[in-house]
Amino acid sequence: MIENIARRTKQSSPVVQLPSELPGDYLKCFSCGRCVGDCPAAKHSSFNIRLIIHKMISDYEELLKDDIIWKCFQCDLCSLVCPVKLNPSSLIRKLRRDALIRGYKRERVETFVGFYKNFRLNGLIMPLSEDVKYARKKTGLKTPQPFINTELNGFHLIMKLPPPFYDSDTSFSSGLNITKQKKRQRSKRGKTS
Amino acid sequence: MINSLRLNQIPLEGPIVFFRSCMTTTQYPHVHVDSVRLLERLGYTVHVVREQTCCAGFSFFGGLTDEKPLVLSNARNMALFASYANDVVTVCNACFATLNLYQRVMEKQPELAVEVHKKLRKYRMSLPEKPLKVWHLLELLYAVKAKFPNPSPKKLGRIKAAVHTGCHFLRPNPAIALDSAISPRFFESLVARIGAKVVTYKEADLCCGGGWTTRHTDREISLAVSLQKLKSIHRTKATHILVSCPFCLNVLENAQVELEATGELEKILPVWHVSQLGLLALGVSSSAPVVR
Repeated sequence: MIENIARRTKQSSPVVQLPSELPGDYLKCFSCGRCVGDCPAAKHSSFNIRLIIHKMISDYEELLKDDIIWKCFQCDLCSLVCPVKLNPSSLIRKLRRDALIRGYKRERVETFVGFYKNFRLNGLIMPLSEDVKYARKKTGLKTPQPFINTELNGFHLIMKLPPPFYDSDTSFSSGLNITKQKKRQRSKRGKTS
Repeated sequence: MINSLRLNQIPLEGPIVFFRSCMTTTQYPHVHVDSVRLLERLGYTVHVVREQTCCAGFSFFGGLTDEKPLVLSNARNMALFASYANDVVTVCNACFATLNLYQRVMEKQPELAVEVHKKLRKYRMSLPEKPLKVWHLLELLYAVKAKFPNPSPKKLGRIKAAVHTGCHFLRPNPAIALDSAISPRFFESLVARIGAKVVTYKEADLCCGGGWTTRHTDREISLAVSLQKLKSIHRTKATHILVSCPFCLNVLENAQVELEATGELEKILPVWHVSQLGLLALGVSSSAPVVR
């Protein structure tokens, strides 16, 4: 397969270098096509793991800009049928992460950024709506409070979760810093008075 | 083919921690209530830990972060659970996959594991020496299926269920899967044992259309796959769609409403979580219709 790509991309040598973070295992792909056979995304779009592996080697940057990597359902069927035990689902996750880091297609994950911000704040990905609160009350469910006991149950452990890869919003850490700064200012005032 | 090694390890009674899924917490509280009631009636002592966070699988599978947030938050969850029981049950395929991924990462990335232990110690928490075992509700129900009444209540016979196992239950961990990861049939045999009729349909192993994230990242293709699945179900005489995951429930329910509005589907079938059927079989009605 590598020789074919090299010929197609007019490279003199079939030696291909993958981006360092991607596992070299994908060079083992011999395009048998089993991954495409039952793929739900392939049935409804031009999504094709074989082509993605080709493109990954020949034009990585273009691949990251392409909408195609967002069509995978992560259903893992391809991983189960691959004769050389590749894991295309995990490859797609890596490609998506790389695309987001380089600033491509961030609009696709807006919902998840919202979820993640909620998660870091409340330990839940979505706030409870009034209807759900009512339903929970009627069915006798207590409101979940992940951070109910902040001292003992690791509130700060969760607060220190890293931000999304590309997120410039540092309100969490700055929020903590502000309270620290205020405390310092108060203690300074106390000393001076 | 049932994995008897896995089957023999499933606890048949006793204390168990119920892992709250984000979908049951914020969208389908009745699935939470029904599952807990069902487990209690089947002989388990169920603990719901109020301080538990979501599984955080979406941050990793959505491409936002690496495994670290998922591992940190679930280590905290497991440390909290350890004082209640040695087994954890979840009703959601995504939580099941995420908790198993957490355990794999802790095993295979010792450096990260050391960091996690260190952080937990800092907050006076610790993980048990023997990791907690994670089960899916379906696995438990399959193991204790003999406890369901035989013959089953007659009204269950009127239910013709199209069964959907979902992708993220067995496929991410084929090594520990209870049944074939590609084309599992144990859910169908469980439903038949509980007392409902099972209809077979061509796209039984197809994704519901949700993907991990595809519902949000590419709605067009997500709806196309949902339509393919739903058309295949609607061609049969199914009266209900039965799922094992609240996210699949959400996707199939909403897709039906959307596709009926555009005229691509003629009717809407009720989508049930397996806990609702289990409770009915024990003669208890579901807490589903709590609507303001």
